[in-house]
Amino acid sequence: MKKLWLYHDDKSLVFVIFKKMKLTVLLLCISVLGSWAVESYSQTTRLTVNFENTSIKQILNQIEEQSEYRFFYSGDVDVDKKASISKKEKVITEIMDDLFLGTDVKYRLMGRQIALFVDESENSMLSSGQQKTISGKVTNSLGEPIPGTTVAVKGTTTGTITDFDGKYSLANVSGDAVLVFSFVGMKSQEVSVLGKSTVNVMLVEETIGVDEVVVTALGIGKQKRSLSYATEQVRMDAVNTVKSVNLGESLAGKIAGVQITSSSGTTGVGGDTRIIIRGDRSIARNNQPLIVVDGVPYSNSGGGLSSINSDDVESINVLKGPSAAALYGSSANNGVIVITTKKGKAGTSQIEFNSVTSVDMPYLYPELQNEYAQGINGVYNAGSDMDSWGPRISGQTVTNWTGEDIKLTAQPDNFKDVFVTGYNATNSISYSAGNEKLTGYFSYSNTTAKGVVENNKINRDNFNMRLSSEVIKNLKIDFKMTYHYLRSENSPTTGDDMFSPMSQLIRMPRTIRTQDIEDYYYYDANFSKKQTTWVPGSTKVINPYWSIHARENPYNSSNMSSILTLRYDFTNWIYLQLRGNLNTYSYDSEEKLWWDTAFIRYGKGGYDTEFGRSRKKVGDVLLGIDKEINKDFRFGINLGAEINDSYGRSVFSSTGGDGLKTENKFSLVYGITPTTSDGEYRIQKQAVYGTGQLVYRNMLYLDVTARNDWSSTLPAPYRYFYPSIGLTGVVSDMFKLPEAISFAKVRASYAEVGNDASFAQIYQTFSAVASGPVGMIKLGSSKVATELIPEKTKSWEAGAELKFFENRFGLDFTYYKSNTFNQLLKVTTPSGTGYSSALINCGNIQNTGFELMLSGTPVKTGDFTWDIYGHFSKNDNKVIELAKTLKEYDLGTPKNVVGTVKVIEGQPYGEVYARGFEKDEQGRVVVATNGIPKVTAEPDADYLGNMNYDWRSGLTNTFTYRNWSLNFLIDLNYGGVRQSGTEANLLLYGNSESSLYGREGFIFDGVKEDGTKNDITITAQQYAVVIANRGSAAVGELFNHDATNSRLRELSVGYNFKFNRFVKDIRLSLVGRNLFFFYNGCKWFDPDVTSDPTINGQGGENSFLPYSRTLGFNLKVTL
Amino acid sequence: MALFLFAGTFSCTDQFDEYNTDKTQMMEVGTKELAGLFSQSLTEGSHWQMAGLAQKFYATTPMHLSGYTVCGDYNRELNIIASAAAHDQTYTRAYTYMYKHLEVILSKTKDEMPVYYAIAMIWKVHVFHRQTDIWGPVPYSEAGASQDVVRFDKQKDIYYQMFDELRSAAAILEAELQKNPNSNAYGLGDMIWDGKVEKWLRFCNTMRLRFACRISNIEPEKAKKEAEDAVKGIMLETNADDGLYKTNSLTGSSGYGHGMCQMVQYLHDFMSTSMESYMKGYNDPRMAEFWNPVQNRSDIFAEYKSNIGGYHGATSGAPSSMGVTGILRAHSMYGPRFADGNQRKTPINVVNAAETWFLKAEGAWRGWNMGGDAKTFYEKGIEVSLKQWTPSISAGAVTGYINSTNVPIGPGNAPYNDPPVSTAPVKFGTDKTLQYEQIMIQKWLALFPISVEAYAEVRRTRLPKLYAKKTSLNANVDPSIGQIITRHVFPDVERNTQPDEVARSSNEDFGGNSDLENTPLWWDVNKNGNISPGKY
Repeated sequence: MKKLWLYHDDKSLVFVIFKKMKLTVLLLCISVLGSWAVESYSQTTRLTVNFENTSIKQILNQIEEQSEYRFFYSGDVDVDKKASISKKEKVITEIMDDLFLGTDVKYRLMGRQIALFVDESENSMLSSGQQKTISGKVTNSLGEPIPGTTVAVKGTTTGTITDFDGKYSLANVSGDAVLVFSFVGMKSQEVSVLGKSTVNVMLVEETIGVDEVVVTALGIGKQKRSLSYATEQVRMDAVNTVKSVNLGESLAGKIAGVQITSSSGTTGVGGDTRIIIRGDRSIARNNQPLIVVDGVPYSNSGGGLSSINSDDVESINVLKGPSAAALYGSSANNGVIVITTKKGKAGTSQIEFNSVTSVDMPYLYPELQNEYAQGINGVYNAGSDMDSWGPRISGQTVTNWTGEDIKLTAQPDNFKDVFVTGYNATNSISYSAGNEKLTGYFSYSNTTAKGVVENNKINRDNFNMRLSSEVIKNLKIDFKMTYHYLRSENSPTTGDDMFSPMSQLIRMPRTIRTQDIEDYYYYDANFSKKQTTWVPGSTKVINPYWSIHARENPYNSSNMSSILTLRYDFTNWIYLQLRGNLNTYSYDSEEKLWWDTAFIRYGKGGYDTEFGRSRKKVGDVLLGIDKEINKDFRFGINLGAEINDSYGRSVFSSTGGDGLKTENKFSLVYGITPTTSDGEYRIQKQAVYGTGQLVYRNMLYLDVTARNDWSSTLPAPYRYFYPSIGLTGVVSDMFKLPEAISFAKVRASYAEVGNDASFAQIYQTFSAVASGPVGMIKLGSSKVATELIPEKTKSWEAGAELKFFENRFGLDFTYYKSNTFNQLLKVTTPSGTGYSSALINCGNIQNTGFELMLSGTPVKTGDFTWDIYGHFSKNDNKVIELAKTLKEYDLGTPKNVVGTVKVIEGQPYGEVYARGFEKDEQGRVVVATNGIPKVTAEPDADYLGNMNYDWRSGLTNTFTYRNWSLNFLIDLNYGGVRQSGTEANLLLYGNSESSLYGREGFIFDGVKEDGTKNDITITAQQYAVVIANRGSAAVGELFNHDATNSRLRELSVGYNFKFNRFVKDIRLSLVGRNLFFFYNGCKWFDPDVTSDPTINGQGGENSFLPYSRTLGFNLKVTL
Repeated sequence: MALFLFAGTFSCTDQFDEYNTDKTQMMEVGTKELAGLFSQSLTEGSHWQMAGLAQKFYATTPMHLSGYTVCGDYNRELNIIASAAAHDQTYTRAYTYMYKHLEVILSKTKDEMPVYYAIAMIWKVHVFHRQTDIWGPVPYSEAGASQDVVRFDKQKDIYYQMFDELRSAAAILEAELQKNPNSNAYGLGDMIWDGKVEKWLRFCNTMRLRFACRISNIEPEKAKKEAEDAVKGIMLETNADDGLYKTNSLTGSSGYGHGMCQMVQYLHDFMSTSMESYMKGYNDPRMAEFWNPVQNRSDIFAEYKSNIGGYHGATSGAPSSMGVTGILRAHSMYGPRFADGNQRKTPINVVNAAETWFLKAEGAWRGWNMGGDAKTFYEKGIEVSLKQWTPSISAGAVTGYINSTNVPIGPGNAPYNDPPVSTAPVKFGTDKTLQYEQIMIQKWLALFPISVEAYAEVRRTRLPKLYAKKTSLNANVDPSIGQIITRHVFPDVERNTQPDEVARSSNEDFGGNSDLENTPLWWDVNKNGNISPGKY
């Protein structure tokens, strides 16, 4: 069958962008194109033509080049026929009338499209059979109208375009005709009109990836096929069904090359996430991507996602490489997460309600021993702080710490008893509506959640309002305001913190009974609140229940963000956009420590409070041009400028080191020696940038960008510049490929991105401290960089995208390489210099790797569909160079875990080293004269592995059968190591299962210093106190785990109830997160949990909260 | 058009430097700030005894190594004392937090304000001689130089330079005091002597004598010359001359206060059995000031209940008591003035005037011209020390103590039940060897709690006699053959940042011995057990 339409899709690109972005305001514009343009364009546009004996085809091409008219014609129009015409400054109808004067060719003007047809065909059509008028509506899969859809009668040139409401009407249609509905980005559909007078059609999107439009830097929508770098769109449906408290957590396992670790296993419910795209590149600074919401930089850490209501999110697009991000400037060094939020839709009104109720059930705990009692050296001792090196539990009677004579029994549950089932109830409601002049979207969401520690709660409210309008013709205004308020209570501490319940449990002797300690306080004779504990006054261990309650930590934050965008379309190929954003953030936090925790301020408790607020203003202006030069070439240019100004202040006050005068009166007034400090910062960045795109026949794309930044944090002249270039070719359009390959594209790009310094880093300053009789003057301990150069990342990437079997299967592959130079690094200097550190520019950190994404629909029958989406990524990091004087840099580990994380020249970023057993030349462990194995003096003698996975992968399967759907995500991360501080402590105190070996004595398999076989009996206690002592002698390899893990990350089973009237749709799903591990090298803790998402030394575990699984329901109602 | 208008504003970087200024910071300092800089230097120069940092070094490590205390906590013992690897803070702060500020003072006062300059120099010498007496070779002549490698000086060179610096400082201050007897520098910014120049001159001369004694075994000629020169000047003599760093106006995190008070709650520092043996044996009136009787607490183990109410020392390196609260609490901790809560009340002892008399006693004993005889100096030292701690003590009690023939007793430390640590009485003997031991015992008691000095003297003289640790957690130190920790290994920060210099330096100063905890320093001529030192 021959192609009916020869089709030029220049404007359709615009259409697609509009549609995909759901920029309803811009849909207004389409209606303008569709209606207003009919009258105005054809009447106002005057053309000059002058051809002598030229083929009609050429004449039409020329007209197309001069104007925005596009011709389409059926095969029987003889366009090769020669004609002559000479017209000056005439409207199109005059030209057409003249051109086809005396021929059988008729034309029809539809907006800027002109259909040509042969008179007879219309006549014949008219004469065949019954004529009728067909009308109907074209919608997309969401039921939204699609204005601008071409509706044509198959085999003819009769046709029309749908109006703003997606409606159309075609008169004089033959009774047996077939209508063809087409819209760019949608699959064309053919429908027979037989026996119908109304034909409503739902168009579905063409398979993702072919003509998909994605939001790229600065909010510019681009055809995905034209991109010279890898991006990945997150499916929001799954995110909003299997919801987690923090949006960041919901992205885990879903995106190739993106690692997401969560802190909710340490800081409690709603904890922030750490997001790393394509590996770590910065040694001392942020490695996390920039988060951009609706075109405006929002936050530079994974934590920024926690304040976003995921139901408001229309799409999340991850720009992985610096090429993608080059236009965002320095903060986009680590990639960008582009979030586009929802807008109202004209002509419809919709209410959506989404409710998630889930419970978090802790289920993985460290392996504990239940055979030996409190005490040391095998002797029961009710006063032992934290030792379970006592006698074997055999039901013997002992006097316990309460003075009661009890039978010694195992207490297998005293650990678990401390934790509770958490929950998350998130309810959100949104309303969207609009007419041609104004559309709006309003939403409210509330999250009420509780962690597995009983007093850890958060409550979050999100309000969102968005209004879009066309003020006057071609001038559009878009306004968004969001407000977010968070109340958090008692985020638990981890690590060796005195108030970490887990840390206290690790120390607590195994035979302490829950019943004796759960009433964690009592009043003494003076009516003072006292801690119930087996070791009063202990500075080493406190009652775990007391640790939960005796530290109160309320935290509130609020965030208001407004964005106003004005856009004026001069013509349909030039626009100017002005955008302003004001973001204010404020927080206050308190820490209330009760009296009677020994060690903490002499038992006198304490009170701290902090207030802070910040604001960020971003203003930008963008001039966009997209113009066809001729039939083969099109170009796009964007020129822009941006100013980004942030400012913040904070005040911190504390009752200080001496605690509170009055018991548990939490106010600075009651501080013995209260102190206050404050801070202020201001950073301003300015930038100008430009992009250019040259397109050849919609199959070859050349992109260049350039940006120059000025940052106030740098020394004069403050500036740095970086360019990028990219090339993309749609191979399937250039060459004839085998039938099976429906689409093929190759791409390559190169980019540089610079990065500035932190606030006030370039001056050597003094500070005055109000201590001592006259105050003290201090000089900063770090030597500032006198010649500071901006950091720079140079990267290139190349990739290919392939679609097979009519786009049913897809493959996307990217290889990348990036090198980060001139890192501003604080290096430790010889103390003799008088500075403990100096800031220097140094380093070359290289990341190479690849990402592979596969998608497909293996099964598709009428009722049943099976979709899969998988990704695989591998990143190889290498520290090519550190500094002239520095071959090794300590990233440190949070919270006193065993081992240190290092950046070492010639090795990958994040190598973990620890002490090890001392060995002789033959590799045998050497024991000391007491028979206890010797531990290396060097704290980094043993290599344990790298903190990063070797590779990562994820697989999502979606099955739909009629109204049922089943969706699950399995991820598999391979390689890397984690160290457990918890296990070391448990062994040190005789609390772990591993402490059981050798309780009654054993001979360590090693040799004495003279080389003879060890024959000295030691006990497990003697052994443990040496090799499990984290501070000085812990043998890293004993507490080191392979981080490989695979889990059922997400599961949902849903059913759609279909209604026709008031309620459009109800979906009820059973959802689960982190249900179980198929394999976990770390056994009882989650390798994807971090105790501090903001630091670069990762991988250590210490006193993490028990791992929990989430189960719940999701109810989604659309009205 | 609008774009270029907008872009036009982009040359507006005029205010960038202003934006990038931290309001909490001062951009530069002048004469007005000298007192504040000096306060900072004094504070950080006393960091060995500062709370917050004390736990990292002073109140546990030299206290323990000097024989004053025993470390109760197994982890602490292992982490801090046995390995000496955790002392980066102590080492680095001397340069980065202390000397950096002195250097600003020195450079600003060198030409115009010689008195300020000389006092700053004395304080510099004070801090760095403690530094070199712990590590041996350290950066001194090049300290403060911003370069990739900062040279370690040989300990001998450091001592020679310090002698010169003290001599020239003394000359400046002497000249000043002749003109202006009440001369004052730094005012209250001098948190030790309120800016009294005369006190600084006394301190300077006492230090010169201290250094002379310290090098007396290795360079007797130089020692004699320096000592005889030093005693020509005024020295710290009475308790009014005691160097006490006042903690009462400290606030915030830059003024933790007295470290010993901070340490009490950690259950790390207990009176040693050596201390118990001497003080109980001598019926020493300072006992109730230095130490606390064992408190009556329910968690003390039954077999230790009999300790309650008495003064009891803990056995060094006794594995049975390590970290066991119920046993540890049956031993004496620091006395009432060092109680938790007195961090910002009790002053930090920088130098005790009594030390001068014992230094003179040693000089006289060596035959140096000290202007008196050893016995007189010895007895004067005891008197000054007793009055320092118990000002209301009667003259009779002082005499009684001085003439006491009491000898140390056995501490009754089951299961070891050690014999008395020494047989030396207080009453000055006639035997030359005994005399020397007595001077050292009493100086050791008089130095309390300035353990850094006591530790140096213990290493130099191996006196007073101390009980050996029962077990050592340091693989390089075997107490059974008489080994002690004689120095600290260089901190990681130096080994990481300038490994070649560290290697060169330890090779040069330790004569081929490596950078170990059992290596004797330059002035320490004692064989450390069976390990032969590089120099004898």
